[in-house]
Amino acid sequence: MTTSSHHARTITQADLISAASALAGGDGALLASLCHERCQWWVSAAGLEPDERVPARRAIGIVQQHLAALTAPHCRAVIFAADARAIFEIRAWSAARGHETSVTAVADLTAQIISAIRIYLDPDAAP
Amino acid sequence: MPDSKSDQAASVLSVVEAFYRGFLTDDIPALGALMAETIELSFLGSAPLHGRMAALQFFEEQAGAFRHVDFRLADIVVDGTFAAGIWSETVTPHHGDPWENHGVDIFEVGAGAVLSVHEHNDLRVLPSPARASDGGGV
Repeated sequence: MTTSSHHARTITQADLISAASALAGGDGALLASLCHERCQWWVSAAGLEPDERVPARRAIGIVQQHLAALTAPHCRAVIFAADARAIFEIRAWSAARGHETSVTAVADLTAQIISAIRIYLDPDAAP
Repeated sequence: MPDSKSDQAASVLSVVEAFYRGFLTDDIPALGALMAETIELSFLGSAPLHGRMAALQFFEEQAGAFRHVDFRLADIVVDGTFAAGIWSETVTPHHGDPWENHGVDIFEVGAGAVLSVHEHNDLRVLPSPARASDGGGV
């Protein structure tokens, strides 16, 4: 796998915190900028499988649409393992469910870029 | 001079590893000893359980619920007082076909005890109404 010049810079823990905030806050462009152009996206409730190679903007759009249905999403934890993985957990209130729910992402880092990301959504809290 | 950050990470890791051991061996007393009195336990798609008694009752109901569980803990990642367990599993129920699932558990640990556990898995495999009998994650 090659890394394009667009993605050549080294990802930092601050980037990962930004990525989590971007996911929570709807800044898809920022999140996409931290992902490899061939990043493998898996979004549980949307049925996106890694092999589909879905464009980042589609996956992020699904997540953002989901988050838009929730109240006051906030990043509860950013967990970073150097050169390996980042885990984001975004907690939010779901009016549909009447309790807190979450959007959680597990990002795999390859060559200091997000190369794969699995996102666990609560489908019953979706719009 | 001890490194307080690495000491904390080792302590958090130790608690989380012990929690998984207790969970995988249905050792309810061991799980109870690792829980804070005010533990919050939630499974994606379900309302959270509050308190040690409610959490222990949940784990007691889980014990022996399946014919076989092949639980594979791929990684435990620690950052400060938080940890994440990344897992996959093959579960064989007493009746019916096996299923495969994967997920991530987010722990918060304080003073040697688990303060909260949030379990996330693929709800397409196990929709939320099945959570009460789910073998997935913690």
